[in-house]
Amino acid sequence: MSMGWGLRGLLNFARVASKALSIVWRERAIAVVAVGGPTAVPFFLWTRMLGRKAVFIESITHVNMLSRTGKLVAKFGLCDRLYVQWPEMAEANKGTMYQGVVI
Amino acid sequence: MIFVTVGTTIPFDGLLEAVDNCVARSVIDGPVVCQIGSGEYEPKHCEWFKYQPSIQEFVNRADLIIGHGGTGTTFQLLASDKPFISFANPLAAADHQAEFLARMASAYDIIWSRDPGELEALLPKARDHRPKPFAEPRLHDHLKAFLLS
Repeated sequence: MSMGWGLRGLLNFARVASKALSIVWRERAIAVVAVGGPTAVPFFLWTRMLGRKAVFIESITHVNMLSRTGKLVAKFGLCDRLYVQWPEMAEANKGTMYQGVVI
Repeated sequence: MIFVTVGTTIPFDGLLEAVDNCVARSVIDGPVVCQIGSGEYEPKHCEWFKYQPSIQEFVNRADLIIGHGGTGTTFQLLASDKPFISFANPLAAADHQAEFLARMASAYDIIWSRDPGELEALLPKARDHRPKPFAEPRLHDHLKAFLLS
């Protein structure tokens, strides 16, 4: 998904968001787990509205600072859990949690 | 055999050129096989291919692996118990390969660099080097408990 601004960005976001809604609805998802990447955002909008669980797992490549998506998700409280994959990341970023890695 | 892998998503011609150059100058002797992915540079002094469903077979056959700093490749190499050198691909978003490799080096003593030009200098050290085995706890159980709560 492109995160570009402007009309094209908005249209693209609307397209991805409607697709995300149909997936969350059709699959009767009790939770959405997203492993990095901006595609998490439209999914998390629906999990918020539909009262489903949302988990964001920051990429293990991020050691010092959250990714752009991670920051966005944290800032707007779009998920119930924000896992990071290094202990020092959890110490440096309030609201995140380290409980191990996904490999 | 030395195996070189640059992954599938981002080209890494700089690394392939550096390896090819070392072979041309006989800094590296013996067979070299390169997985070149989406790059444009085709090595002249090595065997090469673009993609394979799995590179495990090449890793198993190799005495030394030279790889990019993608997470999949790095964990695969760490698990292989073979000597390897990792190079951070400068084209990776937000220089995340360098950030990742630096952290992995501090915990697991892997050999890495941002600069393929350092390959020649790193080779002698790398040939007998074994990093520490990966030993982070796994998130799975914690995540599962939360999802089922």
